[in-house]
Amino acid sequence: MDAELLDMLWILLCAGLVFLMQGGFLCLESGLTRSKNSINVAFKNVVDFGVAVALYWAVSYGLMFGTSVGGWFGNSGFFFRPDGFDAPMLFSVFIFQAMFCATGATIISGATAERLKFYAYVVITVIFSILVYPFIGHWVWASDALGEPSGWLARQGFHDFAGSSVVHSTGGWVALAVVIIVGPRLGRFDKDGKAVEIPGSNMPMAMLGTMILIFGWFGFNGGSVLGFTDGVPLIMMNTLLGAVAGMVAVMALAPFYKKLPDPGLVMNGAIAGLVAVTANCDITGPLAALIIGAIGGLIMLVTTRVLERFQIDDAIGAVPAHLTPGIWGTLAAALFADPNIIGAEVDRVAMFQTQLTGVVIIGFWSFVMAFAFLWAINKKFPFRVTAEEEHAGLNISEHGARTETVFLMEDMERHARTGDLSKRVRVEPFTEIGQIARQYNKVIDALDLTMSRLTSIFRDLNDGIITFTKEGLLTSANPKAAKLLGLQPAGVSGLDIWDVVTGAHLESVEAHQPADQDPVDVFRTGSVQEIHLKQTDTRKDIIFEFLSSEGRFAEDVVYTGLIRDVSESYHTRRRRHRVMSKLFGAQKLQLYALMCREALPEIRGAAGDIQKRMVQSTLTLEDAQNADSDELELSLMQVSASARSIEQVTRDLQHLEEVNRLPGQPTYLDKLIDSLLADADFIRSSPALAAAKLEWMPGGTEFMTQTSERYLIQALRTLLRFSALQSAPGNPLMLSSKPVYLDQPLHGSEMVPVGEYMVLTLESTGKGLTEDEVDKLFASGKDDSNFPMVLAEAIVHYMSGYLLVDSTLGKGTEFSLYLPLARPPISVITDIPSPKGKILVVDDDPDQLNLLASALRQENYQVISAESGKEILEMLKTENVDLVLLDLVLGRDARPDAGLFHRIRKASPELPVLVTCGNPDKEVLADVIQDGAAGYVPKPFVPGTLVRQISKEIASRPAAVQDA
Amino acid sequence: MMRSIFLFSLISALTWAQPSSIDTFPLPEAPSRRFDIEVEEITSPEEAVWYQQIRFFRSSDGPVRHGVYVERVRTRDREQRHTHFQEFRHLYEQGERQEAHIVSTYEDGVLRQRDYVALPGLVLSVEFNAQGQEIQLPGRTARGALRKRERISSYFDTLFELNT
Repeated sequence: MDAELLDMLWILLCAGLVFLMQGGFLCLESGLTRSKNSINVAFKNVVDFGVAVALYWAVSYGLMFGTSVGGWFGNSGFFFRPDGFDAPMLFSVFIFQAMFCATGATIISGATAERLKFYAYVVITVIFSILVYPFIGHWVWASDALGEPSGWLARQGFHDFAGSSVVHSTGGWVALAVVIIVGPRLGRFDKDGKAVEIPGSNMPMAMLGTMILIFGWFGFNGGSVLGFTDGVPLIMMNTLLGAVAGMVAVMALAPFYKKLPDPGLVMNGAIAGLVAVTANCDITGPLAALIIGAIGGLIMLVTTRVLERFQIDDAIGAVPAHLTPGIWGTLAAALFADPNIIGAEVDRVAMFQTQLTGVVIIGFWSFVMAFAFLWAINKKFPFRVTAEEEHAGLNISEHGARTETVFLMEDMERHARTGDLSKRVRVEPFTEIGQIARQYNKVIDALDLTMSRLTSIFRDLNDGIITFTKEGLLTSANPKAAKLLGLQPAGVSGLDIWDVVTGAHLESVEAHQPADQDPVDVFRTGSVQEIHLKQTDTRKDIIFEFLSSEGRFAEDVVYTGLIRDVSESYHTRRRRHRVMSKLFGAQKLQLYALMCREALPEIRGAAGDIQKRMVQSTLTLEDAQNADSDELELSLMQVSASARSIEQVTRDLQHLEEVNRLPGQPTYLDKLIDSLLADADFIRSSPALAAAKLEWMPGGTEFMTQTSERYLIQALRTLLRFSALQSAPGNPLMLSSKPVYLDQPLHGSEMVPVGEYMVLTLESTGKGLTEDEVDKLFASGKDDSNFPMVLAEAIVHYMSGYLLVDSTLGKGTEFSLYLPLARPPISVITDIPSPKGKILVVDDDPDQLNLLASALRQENYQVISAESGKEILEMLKTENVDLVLLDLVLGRDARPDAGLFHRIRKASPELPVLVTCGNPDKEVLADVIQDGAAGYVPKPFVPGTLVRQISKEIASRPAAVQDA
Repeated sequence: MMRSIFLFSLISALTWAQPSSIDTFPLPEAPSRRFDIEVEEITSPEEAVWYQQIRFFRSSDGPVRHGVYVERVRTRDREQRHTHFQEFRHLYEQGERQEAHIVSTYEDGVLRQRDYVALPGLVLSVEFNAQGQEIQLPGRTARGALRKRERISSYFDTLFELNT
C-alpha cells in the first residue's frame, strides 16, 4: 500500500478517535455535574465542537499553519480548501487538527459548568478558537514546506509533541480565567470558605467518559505523527502507561487524603497522566512514561486542593487535570527525553530552559488574552445565570428542556410549595422515572386519604384546635376555634394568641394573668389551663379551658392547643357546688326544724305550765301587771312574753316544716329598711357598721313584698354586718331598692325566674371576695362560722326570694335580694254573683286559713271559719253551711283527733265533711272515713285541687239539701 | 459600518481562493522515460571525484546524459580522504541538468547527512548519528514535520534511485 495512503488512513482513523474524545468529555462532564444541568453540559460539548471546527476552518487553521509571519502567526490557508496534488493529505491533516481545536475548547465547558450562560460559553469558545489557540499552535507546530519548524518557539527547540501545553494547558488556562470571572457555584463553599462537595448525577456515565477518553487518546497521541511510522507503537505504549500510572497513583494516595478512593479524583488522575505524557511520549521510554503519568496524577491532586483553598470552583476538576499536568508533561520532556530515541545526546538544562520559557509564554498568552477579553465582555454582558436560574438548573433556564425527571421534580416541587396534593404527578410510561412517579402517586393517595380524615376531624370537631409558634403567633385554627375566638379561619395566621383569646372579640375584658409570667407561657404549659375572663360591661364570666402540646417540625417548634368554652359547665359546677353547700345548710336547717318540732310539745307544755301555775295561783297576767311587786310583775311579763315568743317561733317552724315556706305577709320593704336603719342598737352592735358610711336610696316606697318581717330583718341585719366588714374605711355602703320586672330569667350567682320583684341592693366598696370565698359564703362549714349567712340565704329562699352575690377582687361586693312583689288584689265589681256555697273551714293555722279562704273566695265561695268545737257546732245551727273542711289536728296536743268530726257528723249527717291533716294517723283516718267523711285532703294541699274537690262535693249534694 | 467591513472582508476572502503554503512544495519531476538508456560507471580511486555513475543515451551528436547522475567526491581533508566523502546525485533531462539534487555526506562510510535540494535555498536536511540512525531533535518535530520530511525524502529517494 502506498505509504501516503497509509498515512492518510492512519490520520483519519486517529481523527475519528479524537472526535470520540468529544463524546468522552460529554459523558464525563454530564456525569460529574448535577442532573438539572446535564443537558446544558452535554449541549455545550456538542456546540463547542461545531463552533470551534467552523472557526478553525474559516480562520484558525490559516493562523496556525499558514505561511508564517515572523514565526508568530500564519497568514494563508483561511477558509481552507486546498486544490494541489497534496490536497488529500492536507484534508486529512486538517480534519485531525480541527478535532484538536474542539478538544481544547471543550476543556473549558467542564470547568465552568452549572452557572455559565449558554451564549457566554459560545463567546468563550470563539475567543479560544480564534485568539488563543491558533497563535500558540503556530508558535509550536507550524512548519514550512520542508517540515522545518516555522514557529518561533519551535525554532528555539521547544518540544510539545501532541499538545500538553498547546491544547491541554491552554484550555486549562482559559478555563481558569473563566472560573475566576464567574465565581463559584452557589453552595460550593460554606460561609467559612470550606469546600462543600456537590456530587455528580451519574458516576457510571462519568467513568464511561473516562474510558472513552483513554481510548480516544490513542488517536490523540498516535495520530500526532501525522503518519503511520514505526514510532507510533512506542507513542501509544507511552500513552497507555501514562493513563494507568496517573490512575493508580491517585488510588494509592487515597488513604492519605480520603478514607476511600474518590471516583472523580481517580478518573481525573487517569486524565492527568494522559495529559502529562502527551508532550513527550515520542521521545521517552515506557518507564519514563509511567513516572511522568504518576507524577501528573499527584500534581492533579495538589492542584485540586489549591483551587479549593483559594475558593476557585472547577465543576469537574478540568483545571487540575489539564493545566498543571500539561505544564508538568512539557517540562518532563526535558527531564526524561531518551537519547536512544532521539538519536543524539540532549542538553537537558538548555532544553528545560526552553521548555520552561515556552510554558510561561503559553500560560501568559492564554490566561491574559482570555481574562482580558472575557472580563471586559462580562462587565457588559454578564456570563453568569441568576441565582434562581442556577437553582432551577440550566436545563430549564437555558434550554427550556424538559425531561420526565424534570416533570417529576416540578410536580413534586409544586406539592411541596402549595401543599395541594389534589393534582397527581405526571407519569411517563415505560420509563424508570415513570415508575417512580407512579409509586409517588400511590404514596400521595394514601397521604391524601389520611389527610382527608384528619381534616374532617379537625373541621368537624366540637372543640377548638389552634396551632401557634413559640412566639405565640397563630398559624391555623379550625372552624370551632375560630368561632370561639370570633375570627375568620382564613385570617388567623400571624395573630397574637393572647390578644385573640382575651381581647380580639370581647370588647372589654379583664383577664386574670400572673404579673410575672410571659403571657404566652399560659398557653405553653402542656397542662390543662383555665383562662378566666370577665366582661366589664355585662359582668359575665367567660372561662376557656386550654390544653397545649409541643411538637417539632424540622427546626421549628410548633404548639397545638385545644380550646374549649367551659363557661356553662363552670357555672353549673359552681351552682352545683353552692347547691350542695346549701343542701347541707338546708339539711341542717331541717334538722333544726325537726329538733324544734320535737321540742315543741315540751316548750308548749312549759309555757302552758307557766300559764297554769299562774291561773292556779289565782294570778292573772293583769293581776300580775297590777301587783305591787315590781319584780313579780316583771318576771310575769317576761314569762308571758317569752312564752308568746316561743310559741310564735314554734308556729313559724311548724309552718316552715308543713308548708315549706316561712310565713309572710305583704310588707312595705322601704319602711322596713327605714325602721331597721333607725335601730340604733342594731347599728351599734357592729363596730364596722357603726363606722360605715351608710347611704340608703329607697326606690319603691309604694310597693310591697310578700315577706316575713321578722325573718327578713334578721337576714338584712346579717347582710349589713357582713357588708360593713367588707367595706373599706371611708367608702360608702350603699343600700337601694327598686321594683323590677324580669321578662327573662336572670343568670347570676343563682337564677332568678321571670316575674315581678322588689330588688334590694347592698353594695360595699372594698377588697372584694375571691371565687372560693363567694362559693363558701353560703356554705355550711364544720365550725358554723358563717351560719348566719347560711341562715340569711335560707330565709330569703323560704320567702320565695333570691339572694344574688357579685364580687370583684379589689373592687367590692354586691348583694341583690329579689323578693316577690305583692300587689293588693284588684277586683272589679260589676255584678256580684251569688256564692256557689258556704264553706266552714276549721283550722287553727291562720295562714292556712287565709290561704284557703282567699282561694275559695276567688272561686266565689263564702268562707267562714271557726277554731273550737263549740263554735263549730253553733255555726252549724245558725249558718247554712254547704261543706265543712276540718283539720283533724287541732289544739295544743297536735295529734289527729276524730272526736270533733264525729260530733259534726252527729249534728249534721248530710253535711259533707272533708278532713285534712299534716301528719295523718291511719286509725283516725280509717275511723272518720268509716263514719262517712267526704274525703281526705293531705297537707300541704294545693289550693286549686282542693277547690275542685270542694266544688265537686257541693255539686254532688242533693239540690233540696243545698237550698235548705 | 463595522458590519459592512466584515462582510466585505468575508466575501473578498472567499473569492480570492488563496492557496496555503502547505501544498506548494516544488517537488522535482522524474525524467522522461527512455528505453535506450545506458549506464556507465567510472572509478578513479586517486581522483577527487573517485566515482561516477552516468546514465545516457546515444544520439547523432554523441552520448546525451539523461536520468540520475551520481558523483562521489572525496573530502579535501587529506587524513579523511578515504573515509569521508560526499555523494551528489543529479537529474538530467536529455542533457539538461535539473536544479533538484541530493547531497549525501558520509563519514567513515556512514551516512551522516543528506540534503535534499529542491530548489536553491529549499533544502531538506536529514542528519544521522554515527550508527546511521536518523537524528530527530526535539523542536524539529513540528506538527507532522517528521512525516512530511519522510515523504519528501522518500520521494527524492525514489526519484534519485536511492532506494535501489
